[in-house]
Amino acid sequence: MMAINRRTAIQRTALLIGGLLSSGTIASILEGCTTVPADNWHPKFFTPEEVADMEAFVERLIPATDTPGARDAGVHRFMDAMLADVAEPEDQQAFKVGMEHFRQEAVRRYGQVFAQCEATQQDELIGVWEQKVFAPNADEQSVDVKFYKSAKQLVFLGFFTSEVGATQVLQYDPIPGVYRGCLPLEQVGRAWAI
Amino acid sequence: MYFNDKKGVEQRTYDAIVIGSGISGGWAAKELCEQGLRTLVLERGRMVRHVQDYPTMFKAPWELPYADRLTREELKHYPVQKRTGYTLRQSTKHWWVNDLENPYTEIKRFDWIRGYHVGGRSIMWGRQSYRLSDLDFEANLTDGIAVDWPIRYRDIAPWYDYVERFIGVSGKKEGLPQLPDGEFLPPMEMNCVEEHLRQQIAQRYDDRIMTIGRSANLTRPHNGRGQCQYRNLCIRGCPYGAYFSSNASTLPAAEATGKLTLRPHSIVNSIIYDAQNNRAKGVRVIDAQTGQWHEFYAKVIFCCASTLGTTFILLNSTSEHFPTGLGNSSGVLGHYLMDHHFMCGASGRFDGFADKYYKGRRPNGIYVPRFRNIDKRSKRQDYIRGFGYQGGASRVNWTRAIREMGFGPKLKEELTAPGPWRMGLGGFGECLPYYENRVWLNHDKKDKWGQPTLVIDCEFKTNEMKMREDMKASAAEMLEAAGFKDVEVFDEGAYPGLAIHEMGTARMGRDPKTSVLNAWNQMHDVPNVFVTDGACMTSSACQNPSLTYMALTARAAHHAVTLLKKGEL
Ligand SMILES: Cc1cc2nc3c(=O)[nH]c(=O)nc-3n(C[C@H](O)[C@H](O)[C@H](O)COP(=O)(O)OP(=O)(O)OC[C@H]3O[C@@H](n4cnc5c(N)ncnc54)[C@H](O)[C@@H]3O)c2cc1C
Ligand code: SF4
Repeated sequence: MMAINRRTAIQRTALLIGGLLSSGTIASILEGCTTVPADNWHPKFFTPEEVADMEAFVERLIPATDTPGARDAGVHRFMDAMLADVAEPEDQQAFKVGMEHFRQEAVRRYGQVFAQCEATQQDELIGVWEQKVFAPNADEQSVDVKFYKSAKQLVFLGFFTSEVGATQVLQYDPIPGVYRGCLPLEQVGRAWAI
Repeated sequence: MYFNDKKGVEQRTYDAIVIGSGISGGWAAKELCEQGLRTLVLERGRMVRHVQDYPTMFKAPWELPYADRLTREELKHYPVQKRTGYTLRQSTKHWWVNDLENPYTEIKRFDWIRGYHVGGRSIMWGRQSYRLSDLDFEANLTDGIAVDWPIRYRDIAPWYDYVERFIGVSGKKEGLPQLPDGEFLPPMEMNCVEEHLRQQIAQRYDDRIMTIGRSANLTRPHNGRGQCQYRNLCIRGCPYGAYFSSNASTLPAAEATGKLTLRPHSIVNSIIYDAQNNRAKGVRVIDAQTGQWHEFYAKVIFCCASTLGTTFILLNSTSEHFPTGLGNSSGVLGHYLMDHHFMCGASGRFDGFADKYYKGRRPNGIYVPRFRNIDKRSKRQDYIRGFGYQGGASRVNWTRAIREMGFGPKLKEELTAPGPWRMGLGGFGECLPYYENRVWLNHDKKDKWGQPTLVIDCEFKTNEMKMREDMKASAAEMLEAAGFKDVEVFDEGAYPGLAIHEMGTARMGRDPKTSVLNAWNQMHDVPNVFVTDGACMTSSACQNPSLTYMALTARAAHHAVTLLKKGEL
């Protein structure tokens, strides 16, 4: 009992710090443009434990490198909003079950919740799911596939429609002013966000 | 409550009434006002002021909640509007009707996609603007189908010139008889892969070409409106006025005359018929804000409430003389509903030009004009009429990551480079006019104003289905011939309404016994009523139709004023 409570408390703290790191702009996307202090955020779909694991998960899919990663972009919060408010009940259900399987596998393999695992362990587990989900004979109806594919879709959607993803990793030009259909790639540079 | 005292009547009397402020209503308002008529425009929806009322026009992707998707709760209001899959977003949701408040009955699936506000669908339209030709105007006569158009290309050509000059259409002259050239602003560029396909088609085929889309976006400043900035956010409303909408162009022109009265929140319920003079006297209006009924009067009435909106009003305008709807002595009112069929074609990957990319988001694509059944040589055994292709090429963006294996820093790095080139071609096909494709009124199902609602019974038939096979096969063939890889055909299903080109329910014709309107869009039965929206169409052709509605509207408005001046209305 004690142990779990302490772990939960640590995770909450981690969440808080993570929250403080993300910019006000991110909060405003997620809260529908009302700027909410970052530490006021509460998940609607995930439990606090799940948020901690998903925050670690999104960061392994798109880690901070010389540019910010998915955690900096608040992608776990985006996922929470999408799953809570946009996903259909049956997809929510499949996601929850599939996510639970994934999270339990971390505990089973490494004796730790996913968020507490070493990065290499996290990558290893994600790798196992990647293999399983993208195998030619994968069962598209299985909760593992449903969870992982929709999680992956949400991570990339959330990241590349976020300000850091669109402007720092890719490029975004609000007012191009011209259309040029065939320029040397090096003259244009990185891929367009849209 | 009616205001029938004399002063009230005077205050409610205009020279002309225009019902609807969308693409056709805006044009009617401009022309009638500029000809000196005091014109009342009645629009059922709210006011939308140019620029001020485009709340999302500058929003970046991260400023829109839910990555621009609608929530489950929000979607409940749009069971029909959501069917396009591409038009209903956080950034556009204010442009579409709440389906729950605007019911109709579908005998077979019919996607009635609409927006009720000042400007109508001129705000959200795709801006593709093509002329019809004599191939189209003669089609029914040649095939012995439905009735002959009462006009030919020469009747409408000067009016195409006239509207193009005002709205600004960018495009390239190609000299094709089946797709007449217009008064174009400079064309937009094709990208490398589109240009490659264009050249390949030119080399390999002598029966078809590919050209840049003809689009009502300004490639240079025009008539006081700004030049397109290539943001491809037109559907949200353009801060530069760089594409044609009623709000940016025709309504301001009408207003500038001092003759315009625009009355939003005014649902026209029916047209009042004066049997003694065989004229329409005015209209009955429900004020959407107060629920009160009003009457307005005029010498001439233009119906521009969109194909189905106008058809509803006419069907609902019954009298002893016209028990089945105003101007319906022929019995064809409500029949011959058409739409284009689309969402059908092919796409493929192109492996060259890996070191090339583009800049800007072009609000336009490419066009392959109709090449089937245009002469003896191109005659098909399996279907009549034809289709045009719209499409474009681009490099796949970050979305490719979702479908493939991989994650982590390496994938992140890879995604900073654009993915492979892909090109798609989708057909827009002509639909034949069928008597049994029709709408009528349901008096048992009422809307919230107590008005009857429409029932729609419409389907595509064998000719359209056969054409779709060719739409797929010909697209795949061209792409393969031009060196595209992994070419795949697609057919997302054909549902009338989905192309948002519904038309034909009060058609033009030569004979009052078989048509509602004459060659001037004027009712055979009631000469001071004009219908100039898509309801007037005698056949659908395969070109996007709105430019034709504009030209017919301008032409009809000038004719109406001439008749009025001669005392003939
Ligand atoms: C996403 C999209 C893309 C499109 N792309 C193209 C394209 O590329 N090219 C093309 O040619 N066409 C395109 N169209 C179709 C084009 O928008 C329509 O053909 C055109 O708007 C029809 O003009 P209209 O004046 O008849 O009707 P609308 O523009 O729909 O205007 C009708 C107006 O009448 C009002 N009204 C209705 N009933 C009443 C009533 N009872 N009383 C008072 N007012 C009433 C409505 O509120 C509305 O404002 C597209 C449409 C959409 C939605
Ligand atoms: S793409 Fe051009 S016309 Fe469309 S909204 Fe942007 S600037 Fe205006």
